[in-house]
Amino acid sequence: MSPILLLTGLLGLAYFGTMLVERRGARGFGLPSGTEFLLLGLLIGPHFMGLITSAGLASFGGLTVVALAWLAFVIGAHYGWVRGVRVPWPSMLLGIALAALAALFAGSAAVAVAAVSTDLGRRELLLLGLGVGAVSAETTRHAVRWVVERYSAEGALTRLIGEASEADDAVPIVILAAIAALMPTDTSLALSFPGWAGLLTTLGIGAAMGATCAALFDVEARTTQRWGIIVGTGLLSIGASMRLGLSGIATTFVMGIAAASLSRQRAALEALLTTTERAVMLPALLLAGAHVWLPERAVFVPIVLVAVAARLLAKLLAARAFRRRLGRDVVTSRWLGFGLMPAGVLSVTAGFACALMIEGLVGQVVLAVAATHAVLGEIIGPASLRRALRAAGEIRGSAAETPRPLPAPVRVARTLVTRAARLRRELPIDDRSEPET
Amino acid sequence: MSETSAAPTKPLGTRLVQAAALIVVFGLLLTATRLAPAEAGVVGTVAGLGFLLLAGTLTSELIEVLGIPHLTGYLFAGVLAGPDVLALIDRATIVQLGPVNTLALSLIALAGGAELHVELLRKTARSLAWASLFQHTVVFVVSAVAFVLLAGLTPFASMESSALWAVAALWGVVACTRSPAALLGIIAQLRPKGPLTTFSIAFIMLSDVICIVMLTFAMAIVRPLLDPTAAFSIGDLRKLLLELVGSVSLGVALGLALTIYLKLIGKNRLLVLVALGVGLGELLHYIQFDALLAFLVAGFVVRNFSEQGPKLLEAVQRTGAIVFVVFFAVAGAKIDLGVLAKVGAVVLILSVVRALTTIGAARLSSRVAHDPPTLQRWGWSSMISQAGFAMAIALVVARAFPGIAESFTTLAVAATSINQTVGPILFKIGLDRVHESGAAEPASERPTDSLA
Repeated sequence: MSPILLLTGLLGLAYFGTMLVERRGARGFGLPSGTEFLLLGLLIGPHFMGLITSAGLASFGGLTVVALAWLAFVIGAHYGWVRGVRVPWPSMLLGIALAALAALFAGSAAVAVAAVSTDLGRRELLLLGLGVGAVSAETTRHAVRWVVERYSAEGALTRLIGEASEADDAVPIVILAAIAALMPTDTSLALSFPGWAGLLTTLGIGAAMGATCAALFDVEARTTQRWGIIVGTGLLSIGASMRLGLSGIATTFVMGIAAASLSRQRAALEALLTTTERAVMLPALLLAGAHVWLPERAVFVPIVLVAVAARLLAKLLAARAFRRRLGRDVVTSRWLGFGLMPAGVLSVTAGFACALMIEGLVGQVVLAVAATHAVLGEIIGPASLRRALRAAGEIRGSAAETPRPLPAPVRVARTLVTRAARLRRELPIDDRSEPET
Repeated sequence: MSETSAAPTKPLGTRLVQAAALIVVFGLLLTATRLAPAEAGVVGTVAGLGFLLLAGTLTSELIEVLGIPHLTGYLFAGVLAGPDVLALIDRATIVQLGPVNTLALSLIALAGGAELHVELLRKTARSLAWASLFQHTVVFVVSAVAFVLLAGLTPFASMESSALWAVAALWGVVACTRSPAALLGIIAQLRPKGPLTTFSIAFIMLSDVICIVMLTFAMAIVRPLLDPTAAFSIGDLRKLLLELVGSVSLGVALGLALTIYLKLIGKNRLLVLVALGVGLGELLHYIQFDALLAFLVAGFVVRNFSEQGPKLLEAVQRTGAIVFVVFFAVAGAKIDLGVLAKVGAVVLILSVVRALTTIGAARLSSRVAHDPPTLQRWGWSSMISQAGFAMAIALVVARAFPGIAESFTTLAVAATSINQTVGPILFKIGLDRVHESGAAEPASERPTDSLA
């Protein structure tokens, strides 16, 4: 497939994404974490059907990093806010701490197994640990929102999970920045940064461009011009920071936080950025899926399994922390820990970024772990979360019994068939009325 | 800023914020390029794209106070950032930004077609016919003759007479081209309405088609003069016919598809336009059809055979507001100041000759067509600009005749650089003088408008 054709296809997918998000919002849209696009990518990728070739995929490597950085910008812009309300500091800290715990558990477990079963060096093991940690940290807010909105959940537990899932996004991004700082410095650089200077520069560029974006956004009332400001500052930050060998993803995340914090028009800024999320997310998931490959299964499998188990353990501990935070007034079930398992676009894109940054076995393992988290989380996460919320009495009876919607492709096909039948009935010439001879 | 300009005057605070932001934007890329001087591939392209978009927008906003059109601001930002001045954008990045040009030209053609209402064409048919006749004959002949007379100052000084006349004929075709991009860029900024605007849109879009035909005829005729082994071939004309018919057919099909889409769905127009502009633009290029003509016809079909024209125009304007900034900023960055310095004198004379001939031909045709006085006086003002279309014609010539490619392209690039800088300013002056600037209803700008 030629790059232009692939680009057009991705634009089509982006169109599909924005159409869905406009019509339905998060509620009722496909699978909660959008894993179907990850699997679709896997299916049409070079290792299975081969509709996307390795060469075509490689030509989109740079563009993919830009897409991931853009997602980080979007995440940064609404970081610390849930439905227009600022997340309280205790919840923020709890979310960050629990995500860091999951990252620590999964990363350490992966390193422990890899140290025994592979011949990776110390630096590679460190990168593996960080990468696996980055993809294991979050509980995707998309799945949480999906469950909460679909079943009209309301209450202390719902609120806390929503806030924590919003807050935990910072952890994978900080880890990605650390990975970028650990990667070999580009030899074309006239200056070489020590790791800490790289992190400070990342923060500096993000803050400066965020402030620029906010200032320009506030003095400009025309929507079209505002798009220019957002796109321009976003792309310049990504390009400039990556040119300096820094993490574009971390830069734009900081930029998003700075822009949203400093702008008097935060809601408008967030609203504009949010419309781009699905448009970028679906192609990114598809490309990430196409990248997934398990070349040495014997080595892979234990690392992946251990990372998943360690993450589950961390999420079960997180559930205990939630219980303690909420006190005895809120009933929590044993399903809560499983309900925190969904890992969505951030985990997958973090894994994808690792696969692009760290060539070879380590990058592939990290992406495989991310894909496994996403698929497993999709299977057990939303249903467990629903049970936990129902046990806590935060889902109304009728909403709790709402049947699970059909998958998006089935619904689209059913709509098409219904419309075709209606069109046929409405046609002025009906061949069925012809007398049979 | 002119009183008749469409944009409202902005407070000093806004200007200070924009100036400070411009400094930050330049500072950031300057630091990045100085610390990492090597060509940066995709990263450089992304940084360049973001930079040109921001710097172009901010520069145009800041020079607006001087009454200079936005388009000149985009160009200026590009020149400043380009390889010959601050070198923030390298030549590789300019090449990488090619798809933006494809997209911009597709949007320009689409908008141009959508501006061509049959009623409008009927109203201006007489003026259009005379203007087209005079402009494409007088400008062609005078420019070609001037080229031959000034040949001693050009790289073609040692060429044989017959070959020189052949190159001059090709130069004449380049001289006849105008810039739909500049026209629509100025219209997007000033939102003018009136006879000059109407006539300019119709004339320049029609002129594009005429120039494509002229180029094919000219190439078929001069080929034996430039390449002694080649004979006059009817094949070129057959190819032209095929290209024209194919492009028009595809344009009609695209127009119908767009009409259905706008009527039945109508959402996510930006993404649809981007996918069409890039995907279909490349496809048409691949099958050697004329993308500009196809998109022009598509826009025309949507406008004249459905009620979806205003929707399409609004969508193109919104998409174009971002794409055009980058397009013109890239055009500015492309200006090779070294080449301009080398052949600047002769190209300046040729450009002045072209401009004077254009003005003379416009006045003459207006008088013959009994145009209103404003049109007689200022009808030429939109005809001076040249940009991407002139460059595209020059590239076609360069590909067809490799022997003259470098010299011909050098002259064409230099001439286009001058005309794309001066032309938009003249058109803005014309629109301001005839009080057409800001006369049209501004497109609605809803704060909650999404990407779609």
